Amino acid sequence: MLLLIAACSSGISGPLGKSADEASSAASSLALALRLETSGRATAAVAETTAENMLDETVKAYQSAASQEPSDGTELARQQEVLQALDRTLHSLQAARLTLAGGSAAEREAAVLDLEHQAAELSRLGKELKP
Amino acid sequence: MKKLLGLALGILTAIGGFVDIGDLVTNAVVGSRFGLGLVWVTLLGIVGICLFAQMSGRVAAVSGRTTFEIIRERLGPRASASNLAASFLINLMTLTAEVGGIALTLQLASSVHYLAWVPVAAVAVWLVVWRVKFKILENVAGLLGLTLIVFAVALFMLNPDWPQLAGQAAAPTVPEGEEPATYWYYAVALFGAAMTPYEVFFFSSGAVEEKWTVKDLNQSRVNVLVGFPLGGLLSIAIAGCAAVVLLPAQIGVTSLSQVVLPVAQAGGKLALAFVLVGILAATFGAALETTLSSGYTLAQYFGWSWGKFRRPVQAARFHLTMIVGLLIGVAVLMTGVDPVQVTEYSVVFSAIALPLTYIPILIIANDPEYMGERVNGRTTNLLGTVFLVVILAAAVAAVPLMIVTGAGS
Repeated sequence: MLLLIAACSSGISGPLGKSADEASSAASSLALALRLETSGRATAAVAETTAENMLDETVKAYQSAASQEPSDGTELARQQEVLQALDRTLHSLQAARLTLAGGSAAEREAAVLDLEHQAAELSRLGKELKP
Repeated sequence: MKKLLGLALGILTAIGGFVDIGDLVTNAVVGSRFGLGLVWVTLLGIVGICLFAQMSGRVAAVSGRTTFEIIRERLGPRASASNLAASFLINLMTLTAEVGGIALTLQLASSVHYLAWVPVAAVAVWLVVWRVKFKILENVAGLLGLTLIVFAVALFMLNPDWPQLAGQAAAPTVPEGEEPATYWYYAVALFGAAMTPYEVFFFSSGAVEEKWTVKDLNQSRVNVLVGFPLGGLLSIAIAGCAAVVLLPAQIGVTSLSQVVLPVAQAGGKLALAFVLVGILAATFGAALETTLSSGYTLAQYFGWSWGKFRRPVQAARFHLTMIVGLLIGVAVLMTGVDPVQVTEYSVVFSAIALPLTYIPILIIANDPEYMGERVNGRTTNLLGTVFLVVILAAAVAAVPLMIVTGAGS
């Protein structure tokens, strides 16, 4: 019972941190898939499927973060920070997906670096928000 | 020579047939979050499924009765109806997950969306169940599933820090950022993935399908005691690959596409081809087994004519149940529900329902009236009782852990 109460009473920091972690994982996954595809170790189908799955995961994380109801100004600022980071990650994932459809090697490398940067940023946010 | 070949084939089939979508997803999720810190659960599950399958196979061979015939006879029609309902629903859930697994694998091979593959997968499963002989469907899926050995090969090719992996396995700890409740939730899930009830329905019904007698018991014992542990090593290799590649990159597994990335990193496109064939065979084989199990459980409970050894016209209700089961699975998947989430829930519910089938089998295997001189020995009984406690503990803990952890999230 105590565990149940504890699980339900962490405010919005926990759910926001979880959304950040999930999106960080999604960005890292696509970065890895893109690297493997570029180096000839994975097929285009695997990379494309990973891109689609990771976009879906990040959209879910965004919706979850957006559905939280902040109770004060600090929580509102935190929520906005997470939503902005998730928005940037969605753009990066979409851009990376487009490079799979015919981007140059340099564009793919740039997309991978951008995804890794977003993943690190979200991971930092996730750690800060851990209750 | 023929006997030896039969033995080798049985062992290889048991290895290749051990892994299904539940093992694949749960081991990869656990490896990516806890490293090899839950290997002890996989080992426990392997011992458990060997014990359970060996007992149910022995009961079927000696008495000629399958799991659900015995459950109904022992508990009576009313009490066993709830048992049937729970087992049937969880089997349907697993069937849905397996069909979803086939579709997801075909998406990975083709990049065509998995929902387009769902009906194709279901029709293919139905055609094989309808037309192909029991022995052939069991052996072909099991042998093709052996290509999953590529996970073990990939683990060596990744050149991991072996002492670190051994340390994770030998001294399990909850990693930073994870809650103890989540660790235990996944312990239950992993246990449920290793000891899925449909494996036992299939195993005991298969013994009747293949007309086992007490003369076949030695071969079945070797198949189980050698094949299942070696199959379990594949599960550990899946977790190992995730622990080496995904855990350091902070990638938590949520899709099948992430499960194959470590193999691609280790062995490139060739290894990727092997792993896709292996996953397809494992999920297809398990879809066949769960489809048959849906027919077995219902037909055996109601006393209908059943079995692949009979022509479909002689076991119409058995075949109709399987078709309806497949249609329900397809309908659920077509709503857009995530097959990986269905898988995650199915393994936990498997753990919850496990006592319903385990307890009657344990009782019958101890009954000298049924079993004669093939009754459980002292060691088997001791192990059986220890596992009864473990199974009950896992079943009781599963729902509270699911609520507290938000299903492991």
